[in-house]
Amino acid sequence: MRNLLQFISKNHVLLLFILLELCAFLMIVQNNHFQRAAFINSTNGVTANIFQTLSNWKNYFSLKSANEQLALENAKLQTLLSYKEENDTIASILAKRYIPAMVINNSIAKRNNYLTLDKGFKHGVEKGMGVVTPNGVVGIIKEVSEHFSSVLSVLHGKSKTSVVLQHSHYFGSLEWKGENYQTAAVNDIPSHVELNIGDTIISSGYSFIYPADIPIGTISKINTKPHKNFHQIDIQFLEDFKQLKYVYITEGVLSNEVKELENKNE
Amino acid sequence: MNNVILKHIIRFVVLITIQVLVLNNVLFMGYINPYIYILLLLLLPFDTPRWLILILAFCLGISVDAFQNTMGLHAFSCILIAYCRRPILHFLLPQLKNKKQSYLEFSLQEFGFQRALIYTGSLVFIHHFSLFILESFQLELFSIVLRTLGSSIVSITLLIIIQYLLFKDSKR
Repeated sequence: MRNLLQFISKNHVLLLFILLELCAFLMIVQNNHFQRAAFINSTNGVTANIFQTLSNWKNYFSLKSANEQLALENAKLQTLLSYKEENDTIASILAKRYIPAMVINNSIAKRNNYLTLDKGFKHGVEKGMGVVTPNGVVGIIKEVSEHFSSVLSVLHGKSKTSVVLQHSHYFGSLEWKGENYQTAAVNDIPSHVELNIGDTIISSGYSFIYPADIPIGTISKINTKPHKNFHQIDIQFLEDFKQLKYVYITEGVLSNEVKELENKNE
Repeated sequence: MNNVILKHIIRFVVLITIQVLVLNNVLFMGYINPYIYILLLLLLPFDTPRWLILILAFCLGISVDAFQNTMGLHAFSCILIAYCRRPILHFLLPQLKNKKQSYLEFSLQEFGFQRALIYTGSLVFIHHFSLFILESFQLELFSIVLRTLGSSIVSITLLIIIQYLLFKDSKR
């Protein structure tokens, strides 16, 4: 404190000079329109650039939440869409609710692959629900914790998915042979069905795990042996599982009812 | 002492009146506008406390600003030359450093024309240059320098004449 006072008394002229000049300068900027305009404009020129850069960075960082919002919105729209189709058939309402989720762990290179999603039973996820994207099916929920769930991927030795041909509605089952994450095999399609390379395979909805009519892949190779009852087809996945980021967990609203009914048959 | 204060108050009023009523309406060749009111600051006694000079300069500048609607502009330049006054005086008149307690003020007759010209010229130049920079508030260097030089020459001439007349009168 004493040093401060000493400093002030020593330099009082300089300090007074600076103070008065600051006052004068502030008055100039405050009271004179031309100077104020010029001052503010020049500051704007500098600050606008800074703010622009800053907001670019900010936008970059908020991309994640923006994406999540969009995913949420998508889920809502999907739900609305499926309500709209409600009148058509009861099957179309079997898969109703969509829960958006983010893939936080993913594997494609193993023989049996699993994914981890950032939604758990707190968000309404249950064991046995399907996981889809607009471009294909991803897998089935296998384990659920409070905030997370693990998914048995389509790229798994035990995974069998019911699919149909888009144009003729013959159904088959999709299996992954474990070599390339981009291709899989479709069996059980009768050999009298005419197939072309490039035909689209869609989900059947028979299992009530996945909604119906989700495109899964296109036929890339037909290696059916003569005199066999069923085709042997290779398909190319539409979804790139390596870049999977946002998925939807789907819930068949009436799937329990259907399961009970089917159990009675056995 | 009272005499000195009264003298400067009268000078203050007279200089501002001349400046505001006459010289501010003069615009030679479209850009030369002399400012002679700073004579008050030039002629303050040598041993005036520096803080007092600064405050006086602020008041003087603000008074001129008030008439011209340029709040702060002249005040800024006046404070600047009030601060620069002492270093320049000490440079021109080294003997002042040792002297104490004198109501002596700068006089053309006593210190010679050359010193008076340097003293007046440097302060006028600093004042005008800072004033025109702040007035244009942009880096139009050419027009600022032109206006500074033009106005400075006229101001210096006027100030030297006034100083000459002033001390001629006072000695009488």
